[in-house]
Amino acid sequence: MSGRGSRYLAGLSVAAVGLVAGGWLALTPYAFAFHDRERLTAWATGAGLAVLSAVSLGCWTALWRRRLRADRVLGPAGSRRWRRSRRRQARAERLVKATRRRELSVAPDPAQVLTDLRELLTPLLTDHSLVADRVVVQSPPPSPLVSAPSPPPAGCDNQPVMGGWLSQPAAVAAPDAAVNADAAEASHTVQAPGQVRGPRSASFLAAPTKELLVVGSGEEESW
Amino acid sequence: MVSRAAMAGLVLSVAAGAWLIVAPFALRFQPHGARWTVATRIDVGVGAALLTAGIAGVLIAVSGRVRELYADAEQDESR
Repeated sequence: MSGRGSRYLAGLSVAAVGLVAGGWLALTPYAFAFHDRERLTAWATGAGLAVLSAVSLGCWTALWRRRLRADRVLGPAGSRRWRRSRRRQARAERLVKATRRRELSVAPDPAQVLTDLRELLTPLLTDHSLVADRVVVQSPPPSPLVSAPSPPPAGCDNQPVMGGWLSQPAAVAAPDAAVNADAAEASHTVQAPGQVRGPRSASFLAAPTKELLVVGSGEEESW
Repeated sequence: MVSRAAMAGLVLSVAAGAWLIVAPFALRFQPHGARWTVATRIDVGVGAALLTAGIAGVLIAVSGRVRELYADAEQDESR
């Protein structure tokens, strides 16, 4: 029992003792056949003590409840919503505790983890067929249009265009330029199944290297 | 107000116990030098119990109040 609670508990106890004593004093004149003066004294003292103790009991109860509300042990007076929300919160906490998974009591051995990881990754690095099955590299076709621009022929108005010189009106030369651009782009395209066609996919599908650097468990291993 | 009433109730309990002890002799329904009557024994017994309980309650209540004041003062200083 905390120090604060003992104070109110003591007050309540004394009030309860007074109430019992008052009731006893009020009844004894009839039980033991007291004389006039004895009966009057006992009855009056007992009744007064009972009333006084009842009032004191109510005061101490009110004081303790007020203190418990100030300490937020009790909710606002007569608040059903507060009690309901408190029950729901307790139920939710029990549910969370029941469904919470236990963590590993012993941490896994880092050396064992590295060994398992090595066994998993070694076949992927050594077996080139796995990589070749999934990556198709298109070698660039020899394209004379992509080579160095030739000197402008006669009759050209000397305007450089992608892949060559503009030797005819722009409206006519545009389809040839588009075809040249597509051919130049296709020469760098690496296609993999399930991957979007484009030059950027080559960055992570580059030729596999023989080296793997494992970082993350506090120790680095290169093999 | 309620706190004062509660403390007054404790003090009045002590006073009632004291009165119950003294009453048989003060009101002279216990003859001097004679054996104690049943009424006297009951009054003195109940009065003694009330007096003891009331004094203990007053002491505990006062000490608890003083402890609360000290705790409040420490909280004010920490702020």
